[in-house]
Amino acid sequence: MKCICIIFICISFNTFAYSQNFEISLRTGFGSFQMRDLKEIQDEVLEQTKITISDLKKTSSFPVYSVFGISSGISMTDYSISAIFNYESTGSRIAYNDYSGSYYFDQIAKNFILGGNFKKYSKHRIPLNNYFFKPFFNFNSGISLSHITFIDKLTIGDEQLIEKLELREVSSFVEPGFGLSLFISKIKIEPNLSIHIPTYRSGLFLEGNFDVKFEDEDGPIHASWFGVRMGLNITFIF
Amino acid sequence: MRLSNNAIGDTINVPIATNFSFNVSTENQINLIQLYLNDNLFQEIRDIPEQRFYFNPTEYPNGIHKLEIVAIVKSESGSLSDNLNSENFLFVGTWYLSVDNTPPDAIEINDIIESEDGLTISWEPYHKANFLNYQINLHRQESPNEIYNPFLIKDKDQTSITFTDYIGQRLQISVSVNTNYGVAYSSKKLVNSYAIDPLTLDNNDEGFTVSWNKNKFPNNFGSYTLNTSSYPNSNYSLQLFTSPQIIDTSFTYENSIFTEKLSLQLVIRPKSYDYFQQDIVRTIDYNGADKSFDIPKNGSLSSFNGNAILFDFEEIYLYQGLSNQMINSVRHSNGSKSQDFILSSSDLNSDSGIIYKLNAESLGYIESYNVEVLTGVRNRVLRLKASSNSNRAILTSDKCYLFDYETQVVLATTGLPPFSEKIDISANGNLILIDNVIYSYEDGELVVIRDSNTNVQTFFSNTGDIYYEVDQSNNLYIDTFEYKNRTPINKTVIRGFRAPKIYFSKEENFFLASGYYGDDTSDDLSYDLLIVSPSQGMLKNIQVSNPNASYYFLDNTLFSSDDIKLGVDLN
Repeated sequence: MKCICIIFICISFNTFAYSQNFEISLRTGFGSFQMRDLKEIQDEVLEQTKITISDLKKTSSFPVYSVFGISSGISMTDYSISAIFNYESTGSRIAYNDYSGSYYFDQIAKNFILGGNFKKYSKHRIPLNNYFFKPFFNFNSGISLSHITFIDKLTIGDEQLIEKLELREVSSFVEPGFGLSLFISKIKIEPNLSIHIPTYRSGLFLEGNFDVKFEDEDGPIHASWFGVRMGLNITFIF
Repeated sequence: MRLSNNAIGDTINVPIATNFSFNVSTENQINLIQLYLNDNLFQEIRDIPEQRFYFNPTEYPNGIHKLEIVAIVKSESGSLSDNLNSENFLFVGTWYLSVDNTPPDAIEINDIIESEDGLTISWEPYHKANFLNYQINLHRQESPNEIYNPFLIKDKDQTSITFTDYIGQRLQISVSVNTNYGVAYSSKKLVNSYAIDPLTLDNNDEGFTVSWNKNKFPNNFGSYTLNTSSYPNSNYSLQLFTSPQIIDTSFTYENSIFTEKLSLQLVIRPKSYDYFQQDIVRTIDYNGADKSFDIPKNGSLSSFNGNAILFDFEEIYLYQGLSNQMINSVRHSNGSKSQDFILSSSDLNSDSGIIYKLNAESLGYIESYNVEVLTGVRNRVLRLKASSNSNRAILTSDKCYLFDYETQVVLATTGLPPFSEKIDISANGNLILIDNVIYSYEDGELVVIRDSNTNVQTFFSNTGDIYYEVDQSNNLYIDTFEYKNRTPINKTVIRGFRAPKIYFSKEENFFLASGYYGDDTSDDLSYDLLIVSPSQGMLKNIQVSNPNASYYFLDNTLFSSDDIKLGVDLN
């Protein structure tokens, strides 16, 4: 995390050197995540668990979940360039509990994204209620570091049995999208929609040991963050 | 030993090392069974079908030991814990094992009751924990220090037993307690039910009556048998009476008067000789009646081994066995018109005797002469079917004497096979036996017996030991049988000369006895086939009704001894 922050600061200052307007943007929104392999793992766990209770079910399977981000860069008349750092998370859960105890199988997925953003604003403005919206094309690219945690937790009475597995994956991505930009004083409000497309993926490996990879008969297992991102950027211009 | 759910909480005596078994059954799955002794886990059973454990009381101190069997049973509630087999019910059964490694205490017999059901013995219960079994010890009076076939009772709560096969016997009884740490005997108690006392004898004008008490034990009563013999001889060879009816408690020998000292024996035979029961024998001595007896009309008098036998011609009838002294007590019958009588007399153990000629009218002594070698089986009294009124011959147990009364010279002396004990003869030159068997003799020796029924000649050697059988029509030799040492040792009564022919052979796996046993024209024929060991006594007694019969005895152990004898007892 410390390394990611340093890289982000370096990129920010680098862009600042050439900018006319320095801007810092905060991003929030929602994302959907494909997570095909991890969903399969969840299904397999559900099928193969030693707990044969019929009420043992999937209570969550990588739902749409919030994303957050921060970026900084320079903006000019019709485009902007910035460095971005996004954080995404989702997860799954198999769960059962009754008077005698509980059982959970969780997959907690976190994605740390570090990359660059390029926006190209249209010259055409769309008036709306005394405001003018400027459409823009948005393109993100960079690398992402996935943290996947498997937690198998069984509680019987006062006793707990917890098994935990930490996995990592490094991937690159592109994220094209579009949005509308509303300029109000020194603040830009930019709702946007994009699609996150992983390009290179290392495959899940054991934390701290890149050589221990997780594969099945179809090849490496991935944490697929492919999906739609819908967000709102609030940019402060200096 | 099996632990019962119904007996949870009970105290169990453990006298010896014991394999306990139990059964925990439930519809739910049994995960584990734990056994605690005095709150200490000493065994876990995971192989649920094998619900057993071993307990050796010698490894534990005397006293009560708490045994708990804990069954850990799956709850089947369907919960997560149950699903993971970690939710169970506990079922606990507690018993108390009583250990007593000390020597036993003696118990005493409470009571001995004789009833129609048999002999009932009751005793004090034994209370200590080291009980193995009760042992009922029966000591016969003749061997009081010997325990005869002890009877074991494993049920500690059983404190009485009834021997239904008891028919009355003098016994000494004790009850002992067997434990692993010793045996304790009760004091002996005497059972003195002799059942047939008193045996009384009444001699009157009607005859001779013997009475006794009815046997008190009908369950196993078999028969009464009344025997007699001349005093003081103990070989009771004359069977006067037998009856399977328990109510037959007297026997009258009509028209018979015992005039001399004799001994009577009443035998009660059990129906079954199971367990300890044996014949009950009771004897009484009789000093004889001071009476004379009559000679029947047309009667005849013959002799046998020192006894004189008086009979008529119409029926087989023994009147009296007499000793030498009888001569003086014989009186004639008024109606007798028979010729002179002859009789022989000898001492019981003598090889010589006297043949007497008596006046047929007065039975007075006419003359006598000595004869020798009056040998043979003694003390046997015969029932004679008929007799010649010959005045020329007389037959003893193993010799036949033919003599001329005119010259008083013995004309011939014949040898007879030893199984022939008594025949009557005619004086026409041939010896004629009853049952249509014709005898002839040459050179003073009896050599041929012709059986007019079977047309088979039978030859005897002059030793009387070898028996030859020849087909007369073809003059073919049939077989040779050596009768030596095969003479029946039991009482053998022969109807006429047709002695039982008993062939027997000891094969590898069975024993065969077969033969022709008597007059097949007789309506009242019945007899017992006897197999006797001199050392072991009676081995087998088979009632037979078919005169031609063969018997295979598959029980070869019966004949393990080579000294087995066969005999036929004509009833």
